[in-house]
Amino acid sequence: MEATAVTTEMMMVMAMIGIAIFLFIAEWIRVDMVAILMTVSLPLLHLVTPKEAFSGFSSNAVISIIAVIIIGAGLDKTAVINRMVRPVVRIAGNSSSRVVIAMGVTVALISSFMQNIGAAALFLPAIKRVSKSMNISLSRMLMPIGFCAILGGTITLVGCSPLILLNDLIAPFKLKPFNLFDVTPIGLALVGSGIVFFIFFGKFVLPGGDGGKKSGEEPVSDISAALGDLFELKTPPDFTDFRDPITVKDIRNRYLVNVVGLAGRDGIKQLSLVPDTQIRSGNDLVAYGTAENVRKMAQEQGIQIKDQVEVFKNEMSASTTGTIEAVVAPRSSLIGTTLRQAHFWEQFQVNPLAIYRSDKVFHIGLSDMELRSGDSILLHGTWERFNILQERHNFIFTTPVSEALKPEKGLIAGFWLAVSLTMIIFFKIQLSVSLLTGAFGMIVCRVLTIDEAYQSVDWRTVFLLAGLIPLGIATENTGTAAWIAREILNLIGNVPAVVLLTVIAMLATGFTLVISNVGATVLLVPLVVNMAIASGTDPRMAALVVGIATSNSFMLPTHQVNALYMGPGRYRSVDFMKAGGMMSILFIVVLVAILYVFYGI
Amino acid sequence: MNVITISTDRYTKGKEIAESVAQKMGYKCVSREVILSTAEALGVPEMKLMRTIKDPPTILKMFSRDRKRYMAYIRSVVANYMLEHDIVYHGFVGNPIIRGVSHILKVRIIANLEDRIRLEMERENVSEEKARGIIASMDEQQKKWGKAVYGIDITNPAFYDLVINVGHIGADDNQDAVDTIVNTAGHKKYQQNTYSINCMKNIALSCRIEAAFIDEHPGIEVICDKGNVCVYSKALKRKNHKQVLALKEEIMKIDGVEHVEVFGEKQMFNECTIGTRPKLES
Amino acid sequence: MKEKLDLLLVDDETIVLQRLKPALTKIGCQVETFGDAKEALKRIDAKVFDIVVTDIMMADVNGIELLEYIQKKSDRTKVIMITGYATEALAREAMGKGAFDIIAKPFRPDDLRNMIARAAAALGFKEKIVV
Repeated sequence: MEATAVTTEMMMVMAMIGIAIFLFIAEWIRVDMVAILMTVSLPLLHLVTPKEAFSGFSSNAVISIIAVIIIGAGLDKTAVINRMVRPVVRIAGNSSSRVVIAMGVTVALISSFMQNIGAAALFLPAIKRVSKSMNISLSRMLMPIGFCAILGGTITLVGCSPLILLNDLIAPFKLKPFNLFDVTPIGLALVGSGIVFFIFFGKFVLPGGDGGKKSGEEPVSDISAALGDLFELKTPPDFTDFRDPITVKDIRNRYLVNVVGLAGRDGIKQLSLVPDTQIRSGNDLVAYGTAENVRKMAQEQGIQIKDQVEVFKNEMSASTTGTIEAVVAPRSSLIGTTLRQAHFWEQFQVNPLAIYRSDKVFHIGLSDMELRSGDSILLHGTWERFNILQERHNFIFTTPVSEALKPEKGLIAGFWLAVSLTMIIFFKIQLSVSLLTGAFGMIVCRVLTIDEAYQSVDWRTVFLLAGLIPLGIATENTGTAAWIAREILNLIGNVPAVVLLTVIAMLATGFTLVISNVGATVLLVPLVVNMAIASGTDPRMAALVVGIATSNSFMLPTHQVNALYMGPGRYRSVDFMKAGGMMSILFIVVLVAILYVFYGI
Repeated sequence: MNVITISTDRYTKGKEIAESVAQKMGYKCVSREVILSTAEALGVPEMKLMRTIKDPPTILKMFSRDRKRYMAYIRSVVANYMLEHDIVYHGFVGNPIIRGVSHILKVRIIANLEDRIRLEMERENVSEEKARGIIASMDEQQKKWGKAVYGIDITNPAFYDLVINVGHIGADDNQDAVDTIVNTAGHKKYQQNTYSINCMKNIALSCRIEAAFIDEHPGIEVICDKGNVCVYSKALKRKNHKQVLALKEEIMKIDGVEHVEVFGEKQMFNECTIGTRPKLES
Repeated sequence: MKEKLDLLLVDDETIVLQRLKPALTKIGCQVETFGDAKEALKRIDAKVFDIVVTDIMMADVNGIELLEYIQKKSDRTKVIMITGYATEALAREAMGKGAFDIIAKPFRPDDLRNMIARAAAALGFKEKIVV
């Protein structure tokens, strides 16, 4: 191989790559900002033309992703997914492993044409429900199904962002674009291997493994253990005399008792209590707490416990109020704020009782905790209020709040999805056009409004994609990719295609863990295509490996799907590292094996 | 906060005495006109109020509902004005509004009947008999007014802390009266204390809330105890839950209100306010 | 200048003594409590207190009598009256007889703490009582 000189341009590109990787890891600025930084600095450094710099925004990939997100939102709005679950579960029967398999397969199929995180979020309520009704521990269901959601993204070309990007990235090399189902055999094999993995190794890697008593146990008893029972109490007429005020917060902090309703002497009931709400004389109150704690509180504070719930009987009836677990959604506006700062009680009028983070439970100090994505908040309130809360998209409810959604719209949503797929498969129309047609069709038919469609699009992903594409272009145009490729090949020497592809898969896995799947894809594709050409391997296969292997992010709980399931499943980081690590290795093995056997390399 | 009220019968030189007292104590001297000037600040309709102030008997001719409204406005203005300023208030329109506050000195100045009749004869150039009749009817009117508006006989000396009889309507007697009033006001027993200050604040806040809501709730009764407000209104019986909550929220917005309880039933209201009612001798 | 305020609390209602004693000790008062006015009188003979807080309506000896007794003993002691039967007349009587202040029951500890802070200031305590 001839050695080529390193030009200044190449050095600048490598510097920019280095900066991008560093910023991704250091997290000093947000990932989309890093991408925009690239978009802006590359043309200034004359490493790309301005047109090239912004080509990402009009790329097929970005349009396709926007369309896929909108389609996913439309399906979400009509609860189509939830309805699909019931027949699936019925078919699966009584065996818990069969149920997990059935749901895993379903979510994988859904994830094959939706964003992984969208599919995972959609499934969460259904999983919770099945877990409760079939008495299966949530921690045994969530991680397998979560992994299936990730793996399902490799089944079709629209299943995940890297694959959507692929055709755009290989176009400059004049390589033949991939079809929608070209990856399907690999994807199905991967999903299959994931399921098999959990069947055989589930008990070793999942917490609570074989019905052991740990935090991932039965969610129902988890809640009632944390909550206690409901008690009604009454304060005497001289309760406030000669005493400093006692607030709801004081009661929670001192006795771990949650007051959820307060009625004054005028009989007017308050069902959502700001922590600073004072408890006064002659008040009737309802509270959740263990019998022991409630008795202690009653005795020390001089409050009388009533025999049964009377004043609040109607308000506390199961048909009016209840407790649910709500997971802070990935794009919730509450992330980074505290409940107090967000005026949570005034805005939503439900009572937070506890917050679950990883495998820890927090009962006190709730109002001042900075919320993170994946935090699971135990809320108590009226179903009416929960419905309103659900509209705001701040939370994903693990218990479905209302199924009074429009079934006709579900058919329409499904219809437009079918239209998109038909256009892609049978009419060979460009991916972006077909998907956008489907999305547009849904909006026209009022499955969701155009504003809801706009709201549902995660601009972070869009900018991340659009912003990094010029970096890939620069890498190729300046010959940097070719140079790095040659250097690596020199390093590893002349190896058979299988080995090369394995190395590429490992590179992609490693990169995706630190600089996101999109970043890894954009940087690696030009690189590996060059490597493949230089060593006589099929460059399309090399690019495909990158597109698939960048989904191999099971080890870190910070990956979107993992982060979402971590709270409800009560997983610790170490759980992900164990299961995820093994899964990652299995992934690479299966991938390369399938390529070898079926694609003839 | 420091208040001396001076009430007189007609033609006794209440105004002059009040002004002298005010000067000596360093207070402002005000009468019913103050009601108009502060009405605007409290959001009370000024025009109609003017008629009731300028010509107090008009209020007797009003229907009971209107009368209650205007009295609510007047009470609110006077009570809050008294809370914010050190004053000598003379006149009878705003007089018995604040009762039960131990640091407010209530003075009644009366003059000898014969002197008053003589003065009337001089002024109006009428016979003694006529003059006597006029004086009697004026006194009667004051009594009636007080009964109708405040439910008490404001000519009854028992309501006052200090009753001064200015024998002759002469300047030196005025000076005696002024001195007596100033000395009495300085006595330990008329000093402000936490209880009396709280009473005053409670009354002022109650009046304020009543005035704010009397249009919609004609029979409203409010009793405050340091920011804890109990409200009774018959109209509440006909309101739904949402409306009651809305009312509570509105009341919470008023400055000084910390907690509100609203009642549609008089009995519950009475039970809850039994300890906090202002205790008045009636 | 001594540090703590010597305070005597007299009331025949146990709830008052029970709840106020810790509330006042919290702000740096040395608090002695008596449920029986007669016993309190004996204590007053023995010690001069900075502040005496006393109920008015008590069984044997009423608060006003206690007030007069204290004033004969020492003109330095500030007497604060608390009462469940406050009226204009009663307030005037108490103030007229030299009480430092009077407040109606029931009240919150902060109300009393404010009065005590003022009494302390009047007594010349340099340390501001933190309420």
